[in-house]
Amino acid sequence: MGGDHTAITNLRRAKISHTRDPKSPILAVVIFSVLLFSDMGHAETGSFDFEGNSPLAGWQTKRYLGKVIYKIASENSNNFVHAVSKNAATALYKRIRFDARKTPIISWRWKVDQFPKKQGLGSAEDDDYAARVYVIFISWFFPSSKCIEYIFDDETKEGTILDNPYSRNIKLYVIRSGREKNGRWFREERNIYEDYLEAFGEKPVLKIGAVAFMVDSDNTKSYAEASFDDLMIGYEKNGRVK
Amino acid sequence: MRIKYLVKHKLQFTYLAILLIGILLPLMLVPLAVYYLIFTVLAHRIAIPDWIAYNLFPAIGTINKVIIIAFPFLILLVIFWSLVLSHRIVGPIYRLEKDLDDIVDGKRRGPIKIRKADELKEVVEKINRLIDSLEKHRCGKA
Repeated sequence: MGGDHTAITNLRRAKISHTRDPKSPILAVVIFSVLLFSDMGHAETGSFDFEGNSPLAGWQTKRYLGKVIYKIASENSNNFVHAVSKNAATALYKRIRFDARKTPIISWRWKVDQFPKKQGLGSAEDDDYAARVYVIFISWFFPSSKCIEYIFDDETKEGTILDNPYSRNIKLYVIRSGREKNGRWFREERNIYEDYLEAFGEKPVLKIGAVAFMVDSDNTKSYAEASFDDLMIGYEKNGRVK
Repeated sequence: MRIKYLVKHKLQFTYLAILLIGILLPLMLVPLAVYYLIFTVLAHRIAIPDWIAYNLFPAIGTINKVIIIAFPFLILLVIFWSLVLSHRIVGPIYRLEKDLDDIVDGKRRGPIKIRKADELKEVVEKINRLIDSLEKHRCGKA
């Protein structure tokens, strides 16, 4: 009798343990969504001088074609990111999150050692630049995302804003130009909000979700070399970093 | 031979609606899942806008063309197939009701005939056996 009672109790327990919680699929979807978008929500802004023990912590390389070598180089005891591209396109990418309407300033230093050899066609085959800094306004639905690429080129006139050949949501803003500027460091400070307004003709709605550096030479099948340093993002005009 | 594809309207529309929802809903979820996969999961993995625009936009353009061309045909096919399936279920019920009414009213005698592909074949066979046995019983009494 007692054995029967125990068996029934065990059976009930087993039934209870196998009863599916109706909330569990919803919970699974919520957990999946949180995991999926968790790396989109980095609230990190600040400055990156590429000094210290882990100067590229949090930065990832995004490969497209070949492999651009991004490494930390040193000059007069100052560290910086040095990139060499041989017929390759790879970006150095950092997830961040800040609102260009509140903290619109970005600054960095860059230097080009070698420009890619363009054919002067002005087409997609020439879509290589010695140095680019991406500011990406990420939307969960990517076609709605927008991007400004600040470009250091050898020929295109400074101040030129170009459409990306494949998407009008990507604007190429040439802010430094000239072959004679080869081998010299330049410091840039841009107001993203104003640049966005100029490039897209509207105020930014999306928050900035990532920044990236790129040196590419894949389309021209040539060679490019550039360096980046002292990136500061998400600060106000008075220089205060959020 | 039944040629009307809509018989017991209310019942058939209920089955038709259940079948259409059951087929069309997953069918519509497929392109949504493809868009989600491409524009959210894949795009965030690729990350660099130029490459996404260069690689994913043409791919999604092709997918859109396939969907635009194939979807109307698929919907028509689904509607037609749902109509056939719902008729296979509701048609025999309609026939059964009508024939039973006729038998009860004495307008005709069994057995009730049903098409090979129709559902409820076994039920109709049992009803035919019941009719047969009732008729034998009635003849025995007479």
